[in-house]
Amino acid sequence: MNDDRQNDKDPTAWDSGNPVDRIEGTGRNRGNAIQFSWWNLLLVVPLAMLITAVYNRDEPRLFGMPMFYWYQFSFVAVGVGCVAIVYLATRNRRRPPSATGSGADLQDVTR
Amino acid sequence: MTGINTVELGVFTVLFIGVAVMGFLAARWKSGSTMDHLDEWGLGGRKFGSWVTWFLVGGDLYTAYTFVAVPALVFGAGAIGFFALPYTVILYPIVFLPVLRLWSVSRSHGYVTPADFVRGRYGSPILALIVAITGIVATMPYIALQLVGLEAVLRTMGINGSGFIGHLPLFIAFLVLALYTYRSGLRAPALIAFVKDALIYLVIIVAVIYLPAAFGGWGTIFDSAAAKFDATPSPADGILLTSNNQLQYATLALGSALALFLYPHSATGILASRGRDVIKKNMIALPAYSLVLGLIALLGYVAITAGVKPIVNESTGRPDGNTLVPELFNTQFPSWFAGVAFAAIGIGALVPAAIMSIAAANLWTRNIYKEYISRHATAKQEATQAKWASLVVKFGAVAFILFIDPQFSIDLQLIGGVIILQTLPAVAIALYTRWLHSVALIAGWVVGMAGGLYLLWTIPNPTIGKDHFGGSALTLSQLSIFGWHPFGDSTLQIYVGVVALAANLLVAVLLTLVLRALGIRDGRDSTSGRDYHADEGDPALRPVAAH
Repeated sequence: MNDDRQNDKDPTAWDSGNPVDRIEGTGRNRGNAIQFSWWNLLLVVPLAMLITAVYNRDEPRLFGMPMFYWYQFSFVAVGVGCVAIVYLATRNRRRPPSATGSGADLQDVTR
Repeated sequence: MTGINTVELGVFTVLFIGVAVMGFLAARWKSGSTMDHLDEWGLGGRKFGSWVTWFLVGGDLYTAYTFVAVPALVFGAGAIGFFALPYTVILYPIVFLPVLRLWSVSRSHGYVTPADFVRGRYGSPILALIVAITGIVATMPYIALQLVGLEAVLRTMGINGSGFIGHLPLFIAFLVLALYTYRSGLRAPALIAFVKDALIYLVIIVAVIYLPAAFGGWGTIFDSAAAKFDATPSPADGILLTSNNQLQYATLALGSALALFLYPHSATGILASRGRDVIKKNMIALPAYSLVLGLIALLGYVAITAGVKPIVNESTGRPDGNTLVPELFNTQFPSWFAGVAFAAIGIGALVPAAIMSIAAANLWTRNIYKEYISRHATAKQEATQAKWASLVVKFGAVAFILFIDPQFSIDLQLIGGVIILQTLPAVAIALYTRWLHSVALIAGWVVGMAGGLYLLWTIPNPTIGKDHFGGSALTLSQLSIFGWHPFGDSTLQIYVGVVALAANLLVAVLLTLVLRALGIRDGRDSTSGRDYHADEGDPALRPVAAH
């Protein structure tokens, strides 16, 4: 399966050498199967709003709002933008196997 | 005091009855083959799509209490109260990847609670019990606070009595909530959330367009707020942060963001969704609520400019700061619109209260009842147990408000944020690695809990005359490790939660190194790598509501 090949090549399954995993492994245990993408680093960018020294000032004002407020409001867009880029850039990395087949009834997982 | 405003109360009551009917009918909405399974009652069949999840999680995270308490904090203290915005902005980038792994592993194994995952990952019933109890203890006061939000609205409409009769409307509202949650499970708050959020958006858009214009623009509003804070003797308040509370602001935002998805009710909202793509889209769309929350926070300044005074709570004799925003609507808008705003806040209390009680009930059922009381409980017995537990939880919250000073709930909520953060290593880190030993995690939790509670206990709040549990801002000079003061006489303040979490992690890492060196084995891991990437449509996916 698609899925299997991806796991075999997964370079990040570093933890499967851990004694705990070896002892308790169920045979198909491939560690933690962490999938890394450089795009994910974009998720760190919004944390810049924690650096209060940058924007803890009154001037310049925007629509009468001190910089402290409009700067943080602008980070709503930064946060949304970063998450959206990561979503779009990594969305095809792991396709559900059946999506390549019929794909029509993806929603009906309960049936 | 003034009498009851009949127009406001009329609009409020009509909307309230409307959602109650929806709550009862919700049991039939997208119903599965059975209601006698936690997947159905407790997680709505694990099949909510993007829109339902957006309303449900939005209604779950942005609660009525937030909507009244955040502006009250901004009104009283200024810029520090605005932490709610950075908190809810950095939240989504932080949790974007971990919640996907949590959803997949839970979907693969049929986990209903975060403690279920810990049980499966570490094979340690004790660690799972600790996570479950922490979750229940942190959630209970949160439910009680939704009642505080609801009461603030009732009080503004003139229902401000003391004793049992004074609390009767609250009691009726919660009884109705308890009954339809019992019947419909998670489907009830999911359906009601549509109404709640539509009302909230309507009210806030009108308020932030109309109010600044009515008071001469944001410039005038900020200037008058600054003048008020300059006139107070306290050096800590103001429309900007001071040199001392900037670290507190950043760590409070970060700590709160790390804590939010450890709360069981957040996990409930996420696990109820259909697939990974639904969650990803929601992590992009949910900040729309953060924008609204930021605007609501600014209503605290509008209330200063408008000269709004909080209403005195007749059962405690103290001014109730949470009535500020309701009172602002009461004085600035026609009664019918104020009634809509109050209904938005009131219904906004019911949605999270229902989800939280379901989450707490799931924890009780899965991680205490099934683990320790009835090991061979069937799916039906589990569902019945959870339904009853949700009733007990809600009436417990009502009893809290009726018989104990509401201030106690607020203190407990403060503690709740600190203690739920102590489950981060066992839940969030475990999603990525099992390197930390389960025994070390338990030890780290004990140290983090004890340290966090002790530090909170030492913090006074002179302005309201309290010696203990006066807030979550720890002055660094007060931090002492057995008499050693690592930060000297620094006057910087920091959020207690992150200090306790740092201690917790340090102990967990050091003890893991020791236990590994001694070769002490850990429990069995029943999850496997691919479980963390399972998605809707996978051929081997576990069926929903199967035992």
